[in-house]
Amino acid sequence: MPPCQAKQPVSEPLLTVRDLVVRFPVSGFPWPGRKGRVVRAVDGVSLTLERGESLGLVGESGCGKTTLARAILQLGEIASGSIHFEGREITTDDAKSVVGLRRQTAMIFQDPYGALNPRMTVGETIAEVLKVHKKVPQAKIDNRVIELLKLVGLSNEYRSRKPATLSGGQCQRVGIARALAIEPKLIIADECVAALDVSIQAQIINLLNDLRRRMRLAVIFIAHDLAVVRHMCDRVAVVYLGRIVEEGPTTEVFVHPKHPYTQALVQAIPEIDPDRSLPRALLAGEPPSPLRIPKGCSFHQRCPFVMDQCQRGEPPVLRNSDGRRVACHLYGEVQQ
Amino acid sequence: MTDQLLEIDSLTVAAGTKDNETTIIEDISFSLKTGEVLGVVGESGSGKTVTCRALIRLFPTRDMRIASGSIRLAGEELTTLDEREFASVRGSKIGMIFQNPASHLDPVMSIGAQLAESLEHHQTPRGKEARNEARNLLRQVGIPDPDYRFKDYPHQFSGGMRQRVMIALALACNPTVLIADEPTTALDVTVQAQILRLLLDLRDTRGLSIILVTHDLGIVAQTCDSIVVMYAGRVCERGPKRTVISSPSHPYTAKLIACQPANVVASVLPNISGQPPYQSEMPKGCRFHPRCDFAFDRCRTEIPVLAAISERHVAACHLAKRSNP
Amino acid sequence: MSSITAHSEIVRRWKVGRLPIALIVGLTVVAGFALLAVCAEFIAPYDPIIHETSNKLAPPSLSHPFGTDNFGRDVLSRVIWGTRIDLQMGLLGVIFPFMIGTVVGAVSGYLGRWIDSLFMRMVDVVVAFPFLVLMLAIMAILGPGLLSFYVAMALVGWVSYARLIRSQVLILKHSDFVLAAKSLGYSHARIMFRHILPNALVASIVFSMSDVVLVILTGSAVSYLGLGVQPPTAEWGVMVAEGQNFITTAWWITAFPGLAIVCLAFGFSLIADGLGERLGLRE
Repeated sequence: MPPCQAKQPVSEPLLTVRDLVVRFPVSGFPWPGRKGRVVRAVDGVSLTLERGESLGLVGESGCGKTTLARAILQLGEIASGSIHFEGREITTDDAKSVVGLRRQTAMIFQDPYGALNPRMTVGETIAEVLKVHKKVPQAKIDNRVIELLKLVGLSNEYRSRKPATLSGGQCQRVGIARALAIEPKLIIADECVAALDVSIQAQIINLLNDLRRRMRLAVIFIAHDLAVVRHMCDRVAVVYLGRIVEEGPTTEVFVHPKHPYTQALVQAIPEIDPDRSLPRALLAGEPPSPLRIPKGCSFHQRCPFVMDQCQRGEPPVLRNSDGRRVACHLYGEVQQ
Repeated sequence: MTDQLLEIDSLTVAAGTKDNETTIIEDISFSLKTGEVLGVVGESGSGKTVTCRALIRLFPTRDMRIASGSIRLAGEELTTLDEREFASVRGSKIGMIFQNPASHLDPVMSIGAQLAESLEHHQTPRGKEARNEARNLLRQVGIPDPDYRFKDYPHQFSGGMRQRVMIALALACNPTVLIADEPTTALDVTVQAQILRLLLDLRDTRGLSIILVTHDLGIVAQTCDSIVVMYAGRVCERGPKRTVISSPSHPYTAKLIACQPANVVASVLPNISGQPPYQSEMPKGCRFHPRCDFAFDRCRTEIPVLAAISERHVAACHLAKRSNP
Repeated sequence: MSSITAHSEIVRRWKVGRLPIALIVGLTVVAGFALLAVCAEFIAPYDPIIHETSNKLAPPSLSHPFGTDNFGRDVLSRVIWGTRIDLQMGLLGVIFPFMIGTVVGAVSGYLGRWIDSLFMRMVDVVVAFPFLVLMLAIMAILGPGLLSFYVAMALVGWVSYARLIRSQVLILKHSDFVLAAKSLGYSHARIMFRHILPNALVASIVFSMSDVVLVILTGSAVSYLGLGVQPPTAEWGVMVAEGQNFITTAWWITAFPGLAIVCLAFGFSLIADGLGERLGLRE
């Protein structure tokens, strides 16, 4: 990073996202006079992330959480909005800022096999990061690779193995080691335990939690599984159809969910309690297609507490109250 | 034992050639009553999918076959039936739904046509009668406006709706047993609950018996009457849901319950060290011993057999009997 | 999801560290031909182009195991010497199109936009003409000979490689590990050559092995039409063509070179098959 960044006050959040919008064109026959349709995959998302903080992004498939994460890392095109990392605005026009971002962020993926180049050994994969970013002198690369592997709980012998000979959990560990090689300040983990078995899932969650604490890493943890998020994150943001409908400290949100959607999600966590049977009152329907987002509150068609204003009113504004925000008409009056 | 609808007794499935044979699942026994929901739980590679595929004799690879054991449906032995005889069992007595409904529906045939075809194949109704029956089924599985959606194609349905169509297809032949292989894994949590609810409602209205195969103990805890826990191709514990979950007798079951993120409030999750063994390198003795905290010499040499702990609760662990005489 | 990963894991583990039998047999066959080609001087019992007028059209015997042709040349020696030309034709006739096609396909698929359109229209132009007609036209302009055969092959043959590589690159471009490489800030060149290309090449390497056979046959065809290898040089295709007039009376002139073509083709096909299996292209 340029030296001017050092002057930034400590209170500056690591990451600030303001009114981020990501659009995708929808394919279809280009009838003359027909405007190209677009999907607003991410629709005006704002969030901040402090150093060392972990934020959970929760939502159903297709709600835009992965798109949001990729947009933050400049891996997808942004329609409007701004992203500041360490106080500096990141835009594709400013190639230097993107390079700076890449040097301090890393990503962990859902498919542990797919995220590794099948033709490179584990050692080569990790060494490549060190070489490209000149993290350590050439002579010390081997040592650093061994060190990183040890950090994620893999012995030296894995260095010469290819991904296909590893189990899913081991591949995920390699993915984490590769992310750590960059010495990031921010890691975005996209459903990184969803494809793993429960017993392995617990290993990876513990590993990530441990590393996060030791290295003061900020983590954006994307998941559909709320139980996992509860273990990983300080704060959680619930995403529905490209918008954040609720955000707050994890325990608060889990114990007293405010938005009806969050309530349904929390209720759907399959806790292992033999006396707890399948809930009778379920959320009806499924998320509508992002092409046809309903007017008003996008959740109103499935909401058990739907009121007149939900259908009419323009999308309700996020309101702040005790470090939480909820986008719901129900809480409009409670606002102080 | 006459009240059991489906009885599986020491079922072993093998794969490979005669000289190079590996057993995929070994010595699997369990039974299912009419109207019971049985949960088969296990990690990937535990053999749970192979077990339920063996029940309808549709193996994931061609070289797999039933090596020994018996499957009895309402007293009728299924393993000795030839292919032609078995085809009448498959579908009409045992139905199956899969994890990924999209890949099990014909993309170029309307939902209604697929359902009507299945009905005509297994039952008598023809033409209009079959189509009416198909609409009826769609209504039963909770598809809104079935008359309208009847002509729609699979891609016009959402994931949850496709799974409902799959269930309707399985029900078309009026089976007594429904095998659901990870039916909700590909679905979102809120939709998952809807599908599970539907399965339970069908059990109540149609008297279906359901085998629910899943890796998610939470689902089992919410929906099933009894549980079979599988590890590395063997059953390690079996019993009524309440007993197994509240007082597990096999260390693997206990650990599996403990490491569910939903159940733990502490910041460090308990976990099972290591990973499940590969088919090619099964450990000797108890297959769980390399990952077990309580393993002792006997576990390394002798395969534990399922032993009764209480009336309907069995576990395959050398320690289980002692701790619970 | 879990059971699927487990299954493919088993499949993956099976493939590692074991060479398919097809690959071993194929390599043995091709290596045998290569040995013949390299040591033709020492192995061939006679000179392939010297006429032995006293011994024309002799059937296979102990002194001439494959018999002699209408000029009294030893067919066995000609088949052995022909190996040299045909192997060279097959390999060089594949390598140049392979290289051109790979570069074009990779650039086209990775960069996309107008470059992609430009290259793909070029492909369309080449594909619009029948393969052999275009080959003959180019060779007719360049004049007969092996060199013009290679040039024509390179100018025409690259399209299939370009298409193959491009389609692979298009798939790989959106794979997770390429996204990972991007998120790690790797340069385009590195992503292209270290991550995408090695994975994209698999399919075209396998294809190139079966292509060798086609190229040899094409080479024989153009030689037959008088544009490729010039007589009296021993080449299997030319030999088959020359022997055609005597097929009823002296079958050995065409049969043995024909058999050689079949054997070599068989060897390369087996390699293609085995490679495909080994590199995980098919199960």
